[in-house]
Amino acid sequence: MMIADSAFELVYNRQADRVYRISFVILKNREDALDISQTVFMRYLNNHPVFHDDDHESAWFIHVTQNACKDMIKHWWRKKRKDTDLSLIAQPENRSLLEELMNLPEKHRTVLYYTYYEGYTSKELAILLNTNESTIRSRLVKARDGLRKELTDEEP
Amino acid sequence: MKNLKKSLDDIRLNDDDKQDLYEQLTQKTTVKPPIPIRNLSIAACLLLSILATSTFVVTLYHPADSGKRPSMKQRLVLMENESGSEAMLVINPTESDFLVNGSPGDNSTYTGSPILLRVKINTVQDAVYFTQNYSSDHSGYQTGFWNPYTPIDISVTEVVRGTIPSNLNLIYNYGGYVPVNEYTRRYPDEALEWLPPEQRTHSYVYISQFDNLCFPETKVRIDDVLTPGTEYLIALFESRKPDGTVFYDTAFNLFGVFNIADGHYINAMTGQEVVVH
Repeated sequence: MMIADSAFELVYNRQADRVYRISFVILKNREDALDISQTVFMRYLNNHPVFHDDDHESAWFIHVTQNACKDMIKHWWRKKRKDTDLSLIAQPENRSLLEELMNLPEKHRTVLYYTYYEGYTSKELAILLNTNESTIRSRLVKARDGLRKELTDEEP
Repeated sequence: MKNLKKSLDDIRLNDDDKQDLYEQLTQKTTVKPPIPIRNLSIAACLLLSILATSTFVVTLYHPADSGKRPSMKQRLVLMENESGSEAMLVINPTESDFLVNGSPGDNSTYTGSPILLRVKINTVQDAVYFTQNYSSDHSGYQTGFWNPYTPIDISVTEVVRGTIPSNLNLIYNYGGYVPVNEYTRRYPDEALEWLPPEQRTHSYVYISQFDNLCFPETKVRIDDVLTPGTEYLIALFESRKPDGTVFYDTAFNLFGVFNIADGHYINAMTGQEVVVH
């Protein structure tokens, strides 16, 4: 079964930025995030999953993106990649916060992203990331503290 | 945290990237179905188990000779083994400034686009490979940016004899064999227009820059285990950004015939890298 171009276009327009953004938050590199975006949509085209609703669709894309990023991180050659300069993508007024976010450990970055950008609760996030709810809450506390500390330290 | 959301909003695909990715994805839905790697691997293992390992001999050819055996002084690259399988560098006839980057005696890096390898696989246990080795000082650096890999576009075309193999199989290896057939698609005919007319009608497959990256010290293997004796032209194109500008020059500094039977590469067996004489 092939997915019609029009149907794919709708899904693509809904999910492309999300997939790219998650990949970027995890990998901190534009080219890698583009690669992951392509991989994820190729999987969508090959597997043509059926979604119950928009939330289900978003969860599928998040899950597949997360896994694709994990696969990429595993490879030793990735350690030589250089992080993309945020000044190239962020507005001047947002750059500082984004830089501090990117300085946090990956687990903390992602939990902040899913909580404050995607609006997931700790419970939902625990299911999505296949971990304990308490772990998520703990990461969230540490992530907030970390971000706060970074921002406070930065102020003169 | 409201500011955080606003900051994260800045991370988005720009319109060009979004459109390019969409076009690539929609083009790829029309590719032929992937060839089952597992079946090929089983067949290869059965066949290879009865074949002895060949002894490789390395000699070098000048690419401009278009297949004729040149004099010693013109020799650049040819690798062959006793079964007659061979890999030879072929010059792009339209570009006089093509290609060898390196002094005599150096381990050579070949740059330019396209790079052509003419390959004949005579026995089922041989396959061609090419790779990069970043332990050398060769390509991989771009001003202001450390590029740990070079994206390459690969085209394989049957050029001399035999029928178009149904089992033509490209395997991209980085820490494990990964089937890339699912990402292949036909390359536009005009891309190979510099080929001699008799070679233009053959089939080829193409792997786009985003799908197939030649990582450090990794190999792209091209197997044709069921139709021995065929000859191929393998073209490696410089990768381009979606807007058409050059992304990175194609570059690799090792290539040769791979012996599937024992998993050794010609370089590993002989301890000899490709050298310009």
